[in-house]
Amino acid sequence: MDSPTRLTEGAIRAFVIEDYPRIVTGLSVMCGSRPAAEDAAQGALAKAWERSERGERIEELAAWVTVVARNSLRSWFRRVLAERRGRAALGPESDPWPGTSDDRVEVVRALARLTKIQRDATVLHYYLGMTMAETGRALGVSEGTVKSTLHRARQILGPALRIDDLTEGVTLDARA
Amino acid sequence: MPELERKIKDGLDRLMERPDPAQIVERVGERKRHLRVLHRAQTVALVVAVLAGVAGGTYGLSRAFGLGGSRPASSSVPPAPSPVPSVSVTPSPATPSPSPSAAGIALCSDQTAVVTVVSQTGGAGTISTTWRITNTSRTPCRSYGYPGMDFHTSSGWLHVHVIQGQGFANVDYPPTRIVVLPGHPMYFVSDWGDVSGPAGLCLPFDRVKVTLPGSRVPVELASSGCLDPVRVHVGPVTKTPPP
Repeated sequence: MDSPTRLTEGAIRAFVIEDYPRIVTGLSVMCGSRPAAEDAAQGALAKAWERSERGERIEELAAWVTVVARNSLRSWFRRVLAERRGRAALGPESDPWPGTSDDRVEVVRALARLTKIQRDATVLHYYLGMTMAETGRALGVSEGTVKSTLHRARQILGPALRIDDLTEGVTLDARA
Repeated sequence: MPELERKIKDGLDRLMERPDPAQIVERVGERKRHLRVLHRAQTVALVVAVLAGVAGGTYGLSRAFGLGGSRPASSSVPPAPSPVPSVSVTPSPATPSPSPSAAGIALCSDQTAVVTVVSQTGGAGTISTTWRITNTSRTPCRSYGYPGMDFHTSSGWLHVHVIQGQGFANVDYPPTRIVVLPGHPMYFVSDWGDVSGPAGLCLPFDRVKVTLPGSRVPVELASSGCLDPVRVHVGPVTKTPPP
């Protein structure tokens, strides 16, 4: 969505309808918690709105909110990771996506096999539609690192999702 | 659409939930208002911190260069007319002149100053003296604050710590920044106690040193009289003779 110079309540509402659900879903996959993802996305959106009112120009609101929310989730993720390690010692972990089935579970399970940076890169690039360069900036790595990370992710996701032809990555890379 | 991308999008889109936009906008708006208040508070705190830093820096500089400073307790005996002791002027040894200020005008220095007594009155245990400091250089000089003074007795210099202002009205007023043109004078007033006996101390002196504000090297004068070294008040330098 194109961002106006100054964000209005109407623009925020349009963003919430058009972009917010997908961003929250992507963030949920990255951190494993929908409530945390919602909280981070709303916090980032509030920050963008407040900064816009102070005259700061937010060029790409969706990308801006995604990156800011992901950054705020990183500290949250570290804390939760430690909690999960503690819970794992007590018993099986609860399902972060209760009630899901079919290929939804298949995709979530496939993504769960990736390392965190592979999963984040996959979600940002394939799901949220960021370019290689944008994904690199969001992750704090070079574009080359993004490409190699996505290549390794495809090698894992292909068999997990029963996709034989992985040359599609070449097509996708051309988007950057 | 490539199959991998399509599978990921389809799979994750089915996890997507579409919440009530009005509710989300309301929550975000509330958080935005909270952020705005927080930002304003941070701005106010920053401004206060900067002002405190500037004030502290200015105070530190003024203390470091002898402009202003603390004011000890004052005496309370008003001056009255009395016989005038004799004072004559001799130039002090040559010393390096102070560096020019940011405004390009150098501090008034002992090297280019001649100190004389304009008038002296005494009474009720206090000697009040008006001093004239003439700029003998060919360029203007600037000054601000209180001069220092010391007195020489038969046992040596007393190393007097003058009291800046306070005491009587003729020395108790705030300093102002002045520029002294070539050949023009500036003035200051000193009050010192000269009461002997149980109520005070009066040490005979034969020489006086006057140190200009911002300078470390005094102008030395031949003089005579007696004083209580803990009761020496000086007023700030002024462009015109104090009333």
